[in-house]
Amino acid sequence: MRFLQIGLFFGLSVFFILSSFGVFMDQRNHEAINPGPGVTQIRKLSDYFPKLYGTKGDTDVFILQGKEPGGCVLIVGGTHPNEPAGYTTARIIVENFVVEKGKVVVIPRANISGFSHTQPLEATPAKVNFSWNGKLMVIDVGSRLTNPVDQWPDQRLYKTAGNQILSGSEQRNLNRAYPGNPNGTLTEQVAYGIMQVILTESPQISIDLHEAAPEYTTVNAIVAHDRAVDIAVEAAMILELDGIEISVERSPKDFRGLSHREWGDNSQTLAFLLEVANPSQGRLRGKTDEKLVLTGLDKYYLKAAKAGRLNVPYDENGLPLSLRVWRHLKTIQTIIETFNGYYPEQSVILNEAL
Amino acid sequence: MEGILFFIIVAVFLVLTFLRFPRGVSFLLISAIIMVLSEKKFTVSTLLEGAFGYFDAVLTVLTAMIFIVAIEKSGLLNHLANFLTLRFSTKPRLLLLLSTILAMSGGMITGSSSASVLTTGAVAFPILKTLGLDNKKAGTLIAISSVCGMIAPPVNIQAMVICEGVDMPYVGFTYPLLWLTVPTALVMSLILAGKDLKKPVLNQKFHAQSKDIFLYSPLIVFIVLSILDSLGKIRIGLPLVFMLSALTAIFSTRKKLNFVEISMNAMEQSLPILAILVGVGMLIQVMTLSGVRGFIVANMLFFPYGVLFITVGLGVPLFGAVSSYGAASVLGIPFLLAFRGGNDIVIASAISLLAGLGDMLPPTALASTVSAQIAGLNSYLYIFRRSIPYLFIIGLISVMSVLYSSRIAKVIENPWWFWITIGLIFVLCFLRDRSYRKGDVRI
Repeated sequence: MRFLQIGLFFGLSVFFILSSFGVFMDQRNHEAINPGPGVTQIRKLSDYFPKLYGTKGDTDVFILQGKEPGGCVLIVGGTHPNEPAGYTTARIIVENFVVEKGKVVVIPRANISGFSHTQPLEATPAKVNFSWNGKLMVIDVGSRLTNPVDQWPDQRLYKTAGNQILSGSEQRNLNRAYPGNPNGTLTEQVAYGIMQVILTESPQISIDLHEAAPEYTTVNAIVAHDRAVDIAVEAAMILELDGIEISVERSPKDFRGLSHREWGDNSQTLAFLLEVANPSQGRLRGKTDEKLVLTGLDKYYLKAAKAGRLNVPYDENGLPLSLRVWRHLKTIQTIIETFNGYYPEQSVILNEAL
Repeated sequence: MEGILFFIIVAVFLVLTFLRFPRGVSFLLISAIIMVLSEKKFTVSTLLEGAFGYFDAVLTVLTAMIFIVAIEKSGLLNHLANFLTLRFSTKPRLLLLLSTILAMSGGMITGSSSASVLTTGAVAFPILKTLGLDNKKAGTLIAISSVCGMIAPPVNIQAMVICEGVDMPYVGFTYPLLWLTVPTALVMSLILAGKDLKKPVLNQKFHAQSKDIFLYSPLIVFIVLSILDSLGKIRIGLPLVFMLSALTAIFSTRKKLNFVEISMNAMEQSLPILAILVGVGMLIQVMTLSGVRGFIVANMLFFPYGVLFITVGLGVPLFGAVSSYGAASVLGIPFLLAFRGGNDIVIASAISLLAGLGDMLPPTALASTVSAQIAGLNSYLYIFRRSIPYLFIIGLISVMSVLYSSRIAKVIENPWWFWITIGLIFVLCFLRDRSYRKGDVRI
């Protein structure tokens, strides 16, 4: 009897695995990013930190060099692959933007391992079809965390920089792993690699692109390192004048391991993290599918908005991915322009290609 | 539509339970039905992805069971029970309190109630038996202590999950969590044992010898590796910690132990629990996909502020009945945001305890099921039924903590109050034990 039970358990497991093998393996095939006219060089993260060469953490680094000398800006998308506006914005810059002055370094898939799986229990669609200016793009949607196939097991607890304690699975969260560790886990090595990009390219501005649930407290916001707060506040005021509601938060000193804190503390860069509201990753969301990711329209979020439980404006128009990407692009441009006003000799001019 | 699907889930579960389907199989069938009704198609990959939601927990429970069978066969469980019984033969209440803390300690280290029941709970069980508790009472006490241990510091995964959801550091939780769990577990153990408590009597002649120390090597290996793993000094994960400790047990005794036989025995015992974990993962995945999860969350949150205290008290444990970690993430975070204005640390601690209570409740009833297995009971319902009043009291304490979080935070600011309270409980029990020292066996 017991062999029958055990045999049945394993038999069922094998059936399940074989039946869905193709689906999961397909998630490892990432959609191509087509470098646009502005891209002058494609490097790998391992060029900055050779230990990553050949690992699942090695990712593309696109360089957009302008004709005129100027400053440098780093744009990081895909830190959390379940926040598609971050990756999509970075990809649109690579495919559609040109740099007139200075240099822009873009890492669209910062945690590329996280793009190779979706988070169990979250029912996230692995790919969505999105169009930008009439151009169709297939967008990979992954998990917030590094694929456990690439980094496992998790310890029970994770100590970030500054010995802050988090639950074990957070050791696969790239935005808790900064400034990284050359001898640490894959995620910590990726974080270390990105830190090396900052130290090598010396960007005056570094921007990490994210999304957050609409009920979250830090949403539609710029989180800025202490040295970057003045520029963030001015940029937010300009954005408000353009009709974009955005708040500014100072990077908390006691919440360690995050990009906006560690990039700023460990280099001269002005570190920013941008958040826009995305209902498809929220806890109140209803049916989870491609439509929700694209439109951001959800009946329970409408109910929540009417009950005053959200921190962002929300109505029957939803929060479409196109709007979320547009907000990111507009905020990036405004931060750069604000910086240019103070430091014209280090200015960067980034425009959409005609 | 989501509302209809929710009632289908409940109805089908009740029917399958009536038909005596194993819970793991029921969850699988319900998930398949809901997916077909919602998506009009059946995709195996969706179910499989959900099944992997608790992959680490599956490995932990399986290896913990191998460990516990190994130390049972090696004689360690018996030896430890006899040793403690001998040492505290005249102090039953003190022994009861220590056994409760022992049962909690597994959860404090691992952050998992089932792992706690299967390790320190299994060690405490024979001691509780010698104290006069029957299998049902002893099993209930182990289950409640393990849930309290899971929520007690230093490792409280539910609280950590809530903290991460609101970008709050997991700092300052030690005393709020200790207050919520340790006095509660100690007082409840005394109430639960009640008049059944008697002076422990050894069943056989027992002499502790210095060479017996080798028997304890698996326990020592487990504690050392667990602590090193929690501190990040080694990176091997709890399943491997259990496996290495189980292997140590094989070599810690002169008895010839067959590791394959032990593993098969453990697999047989843990299979129903593993099936529940796999099935629950599938169910949550399909509930998220179909929007039923959102339906549940939305219907608990959108009440007036005053009613929220009732919904948090009922909703979080009930969702925790499917998954306590899931309840912390899916409901704990929005509830904490809804209660902003109080003391966030006390509120998050209380919500984590409410989520933890879910481990006792059906349909999943993980802690109750594993405790029933340890206690040799054929149904978790014996433990569940007996624990209802205690769960109600713990739930009430948690809701009051949410309600008066700011005032409570001021009281517990001074850690000495906690140690004085615990000291008082121990001193009172010591004095009661002394007064009956010369009395009858039954006290």
